[in-house]
Parts: sequence; C-alpha cells; structure tokens
Amino acid sequence: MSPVVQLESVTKEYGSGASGARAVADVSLSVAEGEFVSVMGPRGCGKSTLLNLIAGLEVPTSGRVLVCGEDLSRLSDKALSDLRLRYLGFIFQSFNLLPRLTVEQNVSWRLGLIGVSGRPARDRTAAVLERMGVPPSTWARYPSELSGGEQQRVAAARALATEPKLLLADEPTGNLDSASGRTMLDLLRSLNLQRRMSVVMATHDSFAGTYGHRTIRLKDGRIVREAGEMERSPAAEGQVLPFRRRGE
Amino acid sequence: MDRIRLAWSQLRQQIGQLAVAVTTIALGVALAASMLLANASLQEGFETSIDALAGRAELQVTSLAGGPIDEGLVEVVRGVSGVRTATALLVGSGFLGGARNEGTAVRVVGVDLLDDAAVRFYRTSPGGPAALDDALSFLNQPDSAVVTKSLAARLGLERGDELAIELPRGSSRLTVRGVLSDDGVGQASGGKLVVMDLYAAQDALGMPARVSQVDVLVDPGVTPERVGALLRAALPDHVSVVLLEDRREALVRSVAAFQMLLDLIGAFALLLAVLITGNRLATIYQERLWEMGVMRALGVSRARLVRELLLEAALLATVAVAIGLPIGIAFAQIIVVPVADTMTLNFKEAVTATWVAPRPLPLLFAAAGGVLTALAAALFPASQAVRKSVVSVLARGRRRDAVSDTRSQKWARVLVPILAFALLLLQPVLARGALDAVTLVVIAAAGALLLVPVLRLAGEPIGRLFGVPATIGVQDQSRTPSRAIGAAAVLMTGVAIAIWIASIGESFERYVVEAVMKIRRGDLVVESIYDLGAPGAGRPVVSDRVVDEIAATEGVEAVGAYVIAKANDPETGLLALDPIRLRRAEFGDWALEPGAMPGALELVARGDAVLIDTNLATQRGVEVGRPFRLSTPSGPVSLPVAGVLRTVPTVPSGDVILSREVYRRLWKDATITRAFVLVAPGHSIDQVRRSIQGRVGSRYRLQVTRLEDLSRWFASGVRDGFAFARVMAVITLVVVLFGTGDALAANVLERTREIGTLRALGLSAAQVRTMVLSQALAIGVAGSGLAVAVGMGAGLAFVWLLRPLLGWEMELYPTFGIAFAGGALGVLACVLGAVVPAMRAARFPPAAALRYD
Ligand SMILES: Nc1ncnc2c1ncn2[C@@H]1O[C@H](COP(=O)(O)OP(=O)(O)O)[C@@H](O)[C@H]1O
Ligand SMILES: [Mg+2]
Repeated sequence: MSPVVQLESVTKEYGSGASGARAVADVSLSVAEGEFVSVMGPRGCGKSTLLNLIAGLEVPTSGRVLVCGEDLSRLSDKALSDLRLRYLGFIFQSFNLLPRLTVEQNVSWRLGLIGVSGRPARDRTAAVLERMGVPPSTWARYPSELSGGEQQRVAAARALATEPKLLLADEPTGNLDSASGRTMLDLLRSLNLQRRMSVVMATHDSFAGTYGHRTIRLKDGRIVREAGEMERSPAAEGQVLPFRRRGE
Repeated sequence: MDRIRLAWSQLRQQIGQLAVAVTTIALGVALAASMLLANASLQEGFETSIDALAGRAELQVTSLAGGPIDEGLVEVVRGVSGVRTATALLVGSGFLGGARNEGTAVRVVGVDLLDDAAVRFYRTSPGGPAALDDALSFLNQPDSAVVTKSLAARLGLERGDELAIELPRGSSRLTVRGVLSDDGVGQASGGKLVVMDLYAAQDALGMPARVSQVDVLVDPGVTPERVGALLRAALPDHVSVVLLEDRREALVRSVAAFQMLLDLIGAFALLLAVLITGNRLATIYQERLWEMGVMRALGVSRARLVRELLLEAALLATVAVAIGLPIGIAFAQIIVVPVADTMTLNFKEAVTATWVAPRPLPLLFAAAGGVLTALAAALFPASQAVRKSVVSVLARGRRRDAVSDTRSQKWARVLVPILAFALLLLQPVLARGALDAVTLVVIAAAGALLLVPVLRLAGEPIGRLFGVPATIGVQDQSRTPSRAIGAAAVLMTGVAIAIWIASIGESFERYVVEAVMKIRRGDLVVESIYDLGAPGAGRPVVSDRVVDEIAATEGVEAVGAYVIAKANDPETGLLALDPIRLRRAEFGDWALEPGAMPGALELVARGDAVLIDTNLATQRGVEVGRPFRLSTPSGPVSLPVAGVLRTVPTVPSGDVILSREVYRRLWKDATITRAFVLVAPGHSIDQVRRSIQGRVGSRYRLQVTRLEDLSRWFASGVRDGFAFARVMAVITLVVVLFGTGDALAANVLERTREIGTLRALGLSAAQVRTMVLSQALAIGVAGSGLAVAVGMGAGLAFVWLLRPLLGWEMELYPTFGIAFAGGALGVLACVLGAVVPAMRAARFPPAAALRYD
C-alpha cells in the first residue's frame, strides 16, 4: 500500500544565494495510512514549512512531495485545491477562522463545496462541533466572540468535518491550557484509531510530541532523530501499525 | 442556494464598507436608466411630432419654397389615379393672451371638416365627440375652435368657453367647441394646438384660398413612389411631393448624434461606477486577502474563489440595481423636460416631453449595465487577490509591498501620452471617423498611464510645503500607490467627464449664439409678433412694404431685411438678404472661409452669385466657383458659388445665402422675416424704436426690439436648451465627491499599520491629519490636473467626431473657465473627501492600529 505522504529529499529555501535560508533541508519522510506522526522541534526549526509543503501551500526548492501517491508539482491549481478539500484537513497554528462567518458557517462552508448541504450538512456540523466540545450556545456567534481555546476547537472541527484522510495539525495545542490540550490530543488520537486517519502534527511541546506512533525531531530544517515510542503510543496497543525501533 | 446565502452573509457583514459602492452603482444605473428612458421617450416624441400632423399619410404635397399653395390644387391631387384620400391643412401660428413673454405660442391648424378622412383622423377625446360629429354646426360658426386636452387643462377651458387669441388678421375670440385627445394630432407642437375650420382659418390667418399641405393616402396595391411620380407630373413645378417615410428618416437621422451624446453620458456614468466600485472592492479584497488565503489553504481553488467573489459582486449589483432603477425612472421625469427643450431648440421640431413611461428594454439595459459594472469592477481586483501565494498571504497578513514599473510600463508612460498629443495635433489634417474614436481611447489611456508619475510629481512640492508629516505621507503614497491611484483615477475620470460634458455644452451654446448673431447685426430688429421662436410653427412673414415705411421713419439711417425660406428637392435652406446687409459691416460679419472669390459679397449683393454655408459645402461637396443649382417656382436656376460661410443653417442640410432681389423675382415672394435697423448718429435708439413701433407696429402686428435684447433673449434660450448638460456635469461632480472620498478612506484604511507605527514613534494626531490631507491634496492636484488635459482633449476629439454626425461645423471653444472650475472643484472635492478619513486616522489608538492585522 502506497504511503499517504511521501517526501523525497525535500529542500525549501527562502531567498537565494548567501542570504538564502534553508527552512527545510533534504528531508525524506513517509507516512503510512493510519499513522500518527509528531514533528517536534524548537520554534523556527521548519515544522510549519514542512506541513505547508505537504499541503502543497509551498513549492519545494528541490525534491518531490507525494500525497496519496500524487506528485503535487504535477497538479493543477484545481486538482491541488480538490486534494486539499477532499483528503486534507489543516488545523492552523493561529486558528485562521473566517471572521465574518459564524462558528457554524465556519465549519459548514467546506461541506457545501464537497456537495453536502442542507440538513445533512447541518447535522454533520452539529455532530463534529459537539464532538470537539464546542458548546452549542456559541454556534451562532462570530469567532471574535470566542475564547482562544474555543476558537482552536472550532478550527479543528472545520478540519475534521470533511472526514479527511490526512490531518495536518500545526501546534493544535499551542493556544490551549494543559487540560484542554490533553483533551484535544486524545480526540485526535481516537479519530486516528477509529477512522484510520493519518495525522501529521507539528509541536514544540515535548508532552504533545510523544503522542503518536512516531516522533520526528527537526533542527534547522533537518531530521535529527526519528523515534517510534511503543510504550507511549496508544495506537501501538491496537497493533494498527508496526512501529520502528530507535535507530532504524 | 447555499452558496448565495453564504455570499450574502459575507456581504451583509461589510454592508457599511460597501454602502458607497452600492450607492455609486445605483447612481450609475439610475443615470444610465434615465438617459435610456428619456432617450427612448424623446425619440418616440420626436417621431410622433413629425408624424402627428401628417398622420398616416404616405405622401405630402407642399410648396417648394415653403409657405402656402393654392387650394385649387387639392382637387388636382384628388384627381390623380391611385390617390385614396387627400386631406388639406392650413398651418399658421397664433398667440394666446397678452405679451410676448406672458402668453403661449400656439399652432393654428385649419382642417376641412367636410372631409371624412380628416374628421376621422382628428378624433376628439372621449366624452366630447358630439362637437365634431356636428360638423355642420361647427362650420356654421366660424368662431369655433377645438383645443387639445392638455391646453384646455392648462388654460382651464371647457366646452363653450371663449378663447382669446392673437391671429395675423387681428385679435379674435373663439369658442371652444371640442376637446382633442392628446394622442394622434393632439401631440403635434407639444399639445399647443388650436384646430379651426379650414375656411375660418384661411380668413383668420390672412391666407384666403390657400392651404399649407395636402396629405395623401394611396389606394391599396399601389406604391406611394408610383403615386408620387404621377402627382409630380400632374402638379405645377413650384409644388413639391415628398415621401413621408424619407422625410421621417432624414429627421430621425439628424437627431442620431444628439442621442448618441445621451447614450454616451449614460455609459460614462457606468464607467465612473466601475472605477469607484473597483476601487472599493480592491480595498475590501485587500483586507480579505488573508481570509482568501485561508480558504485556498483549505481547498478552495483559484477559479472557485474568483467565482465566489463575482457572485458577491453580482449580489451587490442586484441590490444597487434595485435601488437605482426607481431612481432612474424618477430622474428621467426630471431630465426629460430640459433634454426635450434642447432637442426642440436644436432640431426645430417640437418634442413632447411629458411622463416618461418605464419601458422594459431601457430598464433591462441599465440593469444589465449595473450588473456588468459590478462584475467588471470585481474581476480585476479579484483575480489580483487570488494570484498571491497562499503562504505569503497567510504570513504577511495585511502588509503591503512597494511596487515598481516594468520596462514596458515605463515606456508606455512616455510613449502613449506623446501619441495622444500627436493625434490631437494631427486631427485637423487626418481623415475623420474611426481615428477620432481611437484618439479618444488613446487620450484616456494616456491619462491613466500618467497618473503614477504625475502623482509623484505633485507629491514633491506638497511635501516640501507642509513639512515632515506631509513628506512622509506623499513618499509612502508614491511608493505603494495602489489606493491613491484608485482615488486619483476616480477623480480624473469624473472631473474629465464633467469638463467634457460642460465644454461640449458650452461650445454648442457659444457656437450657436455667435454663429447666429454674427450675421444678424444692427441697432433694432423688427419682426412679426408671431415669431415667438415656436418651433415648427412656420416662420411668420411680413410684407416687404414695411421696409420702406421703416426707412422713412425719422432717425433711421438704413434698413436691411431678410427672408428665410426653403427650397425642396433636395431640401435646402434659403437665407435671402437685402443687398445692403452684405455691403454694410454694421449689419453683420460676413467673414468667408479662405478660398472665396474676390469681391464675393458684392457679387452676391448684385445677384450674380450665392454663398453657401459650410454644412452644405461638406455635405454636398459643393465648391467655390462651381454653379449651384436651385429649383425655384420659376424653374431651375444656376448661380456660381462665390464663397463659403461658417454659420448655423436654418435647416440641418445647410443654407444657400442669396440676394433678396433674386429671391423675390424667382420665388415671386415679397415677404420678409426680419428687418434690421441702423439708427442715424445723434438719435436715441429707444426713441427710434418707439417711432417705428408707433408708425408700423400695430398696423403690421410687429414688434420692435433692441438687438442687444434679442441677442440676450436668444442666448438665454440656447442656454436653457443646454441646461441638461450643466445638470449632468454637476451630478458627475457629486458622484466624484463620493467616489474620491471613498477611495481616500480606503487609502487611509490600508495604511492603518503605518499610521500606527508613526503614532507610536511620536507623530501627533494633528500631524497624522496633516499627513492624510497632504496625501489627498497630492491626489487632488494630480487627478484634477490630468482631468483638465484629458477632458479638454477628449472634448476636442469628440467635436471632430460629432461634426459629420451632427452636420454642424461646430468648433470646440477653449473653455478655460470650465476647465479651471472643474479642476478647482476636483481638488476641493478631494480635500473635502479626505476630511473624514483624516480625522479617523488621527483618532486611531496607536496600539490598536499596530495590532490591526
Ligand atoms: N516566507 C518566509 N520567508 C523567509 N523565511 C521564512 C518564511 N517562512 C519561514 N521562514 C523561515 O524558515 C524557518 C522555519 O520557519 P517555520 O517553518 O515557520 O518554523 P516553525 O514552524 O518550526 O516555527 C524560520 O527560520 C523562518 O524564519
Ligand atoms: Mg510554526
């Protein structure tokens, strides 16, 4: 079975020549279906850039990015957009909720684009919002009227409403207190287990970083260490995936 | 449905920001709708007016020279085979009530009431058929009259009431015996119509046994052309037979240019709306750039995003159209009167201007125009907005980058203005037509291209003048000029359009007044009191015996008269002058176009040659020295053309100017239209005026006016005729005020972060205000300065474009007054429009402004 994500010697430089900075340097990575990968590292190490590359939001300076077997560089804008719409869910570091839409609309507008509208769309929106723990009293409000934690949960609901095959989560706990952070991580994990949804999560928090089958450590855009931590990975208990040993 | 609802909820959130865009589109739609409606309505009014008196007739028999024909010819016409009916009419003019400026000029029509066809055609309004059914009783009483419903309503007349009217044979009191409905013939002369029995009218108008026209309907199965040929063969030479269809077409063609002007104004209104709306939408999209980035990152494709934005724009337009159309319908009612007056004045055909019906087609056009406007306005900024890379947009938020010209842009900014200038200079030399249209486009493009460099140029001195904050402001503005360029573009376009409209109007006015009055000079003018400038009323004439009587009056040094007549086949205006009017400079300025024969005026005065006007020269390709052929009641005559005169002809096709002695001999007509009097030195003009009035005034029903008064009266009439141009110019300036204010507000909004930084770095609120106002001033100076150049250039090119269409050899007068006023108003509008944004900018709390992202 082909991996959901495959990066082949991907490098991303900003600027050029001497002044150019390598945000991602020669990264090769493969994420299998149903796998939960954490990308860890300090701020500025290139985590967001890596997720952006996977989402096709950035074009690599060199190397190839394949998602669901498709070489992103070969896709038209329409095909790429369609891929994002149907297969990807993206939780941004800074929510990026649309300020002029209500909580409910923020979640449901993407459903409209994939042909789910009317009552089924409303039902699905309600279900995912409930699941993410967004109180119904806030559904008709605008994002600016919500707390940071609530906004984070709405952003997650938006990403998950379309039941993506691959979830890209950029610091999904960054704006949450530790208890809510845990709830969010548990949620992602259970979805990963139930739906076999692949997850690539970027975080600089070492607790969150251990929440998956595999943890990749980035430093200055390079992978410095890759670890499969069976004892900390709940997914491993279900034997969903084989995990890799240290140094493999 | 979901998508529309979503777009609508997006829109609703920004309704405050979009209010100006909606307002301008609505105004544009209103203006376009009103122009199209008024145009359609006037077109119909014009055609009705042409048709009303002739009715369904297919052929018309009139005198070749104008004036009445012998009524015996009616029987000749009826005797020609193929003629089904022949209806005779006598048309004259009368005057209701008191003096010139108080009463109403009316057209008096004599109808043969024993003629069935006539009675059937001139039907009365519902409720009052009895009067005309009883035709015999009508005939038995020569004081009977039928008036139109509108005239009856205006004068408060009912059946049986008396109507006081001044007629050439004296004051009369007629009895209203019937009321004519306002359709059919009642529409002629804008409803100012009194119908009498033919024989009573012949008597009252002083034209016994004469008729003005015979309207002919042909038998089924026979072509009017065929019957026309038979009629021509049967009738004497001094009678003309015309196909009414040809006449109608010629008249309708003559108003085409004017209607094009109206349509252009409507189109410009929409263009202005595109600019203002495009500007506003660009600002909104700029603000939403980040939002769009999010949507793109979540899987919305570029094409889909553009579609969504266009959907929003279409919704916006729908709201605007819903507001604009009713305003347009209302506005049409207001402008139709001045526009109808303008047409009446320019085309010498009474155009009825009443209620403008909301016709579906013009409304549909205007609505479609509004929607297209919004889509056009949205398309460019929308495709610009989605072109940016998602990540850069997400990362940068609302910051802006400086832009710099590409090489080709740099070249275009230099070359296109040079091309525009060259085209304008070469205009008189080059062929006309398509090239004039190209010139218009190149001028507009040059204006647009020059905005950036001129804005930079204008910024320098303003920065130096108003200190450091101003310098920062204008520098920042010229580095990232997107919104500033938008404001300047709106200002430039609007002011240029206002200047264009005003200077075309002003040129028309000045041209008409100067060209008409320069060959009509003297101290006093004597004319029939019936010449009220009533269009289509025919020109009341006076016997030329009056000339000798005026000449014999104490204090009169010289008298020179002229008569205005018409030759048909082809239609040519005749201006027949007493030779003295050509010989003495006090009677007129007869400066001929270059290339005239030596001693041309004397040749014409002696009756050996004629002058032609420029219109005739260009339209028929007549040249100096060639013989000019005229058909006269005494047979065809050829006289050499001695010279060409630039003037406003009495008929659209052009005039021949000849000696009145020649005219009297060949046309056997001893009447005059006007006599001009020179007062001998040492005599008071007013004294002489009173003497002439006393001597011949009441006997011949004449009025004696100082020429200055006539000139002023005429000029004011012409000015009233172009009132609508001024109304349009003012409306345009108001729209510009809105649009520029809006663009300036956007300009400030876009610089919120910079303003916050400046405040954080120690700039005071007052300094921020100065900064914003000097930015506006730079925009105002740049936009208005270019507007003056573009407006005048476009005016010039348009006049050249108009000439062949209008048939008038009109010049664009350098209307520096208007250009200056337009420019000044533009700068003022810009600075006024900046007051609110400046105050708002000064009030931004620095921290909030910095956070604004
Ligand atoms: N648009 C950009 N232009 C230039 N440099 C960038 C851009 N985006 C990110 N970088 C640089 O790339 C590196 C990685 O950034 P990022 O992927 O955002 O890190 P992280 O998400 O791990 O904090 C940083 O040094 C950052 O400065
Ligand atoms: Mg990051």
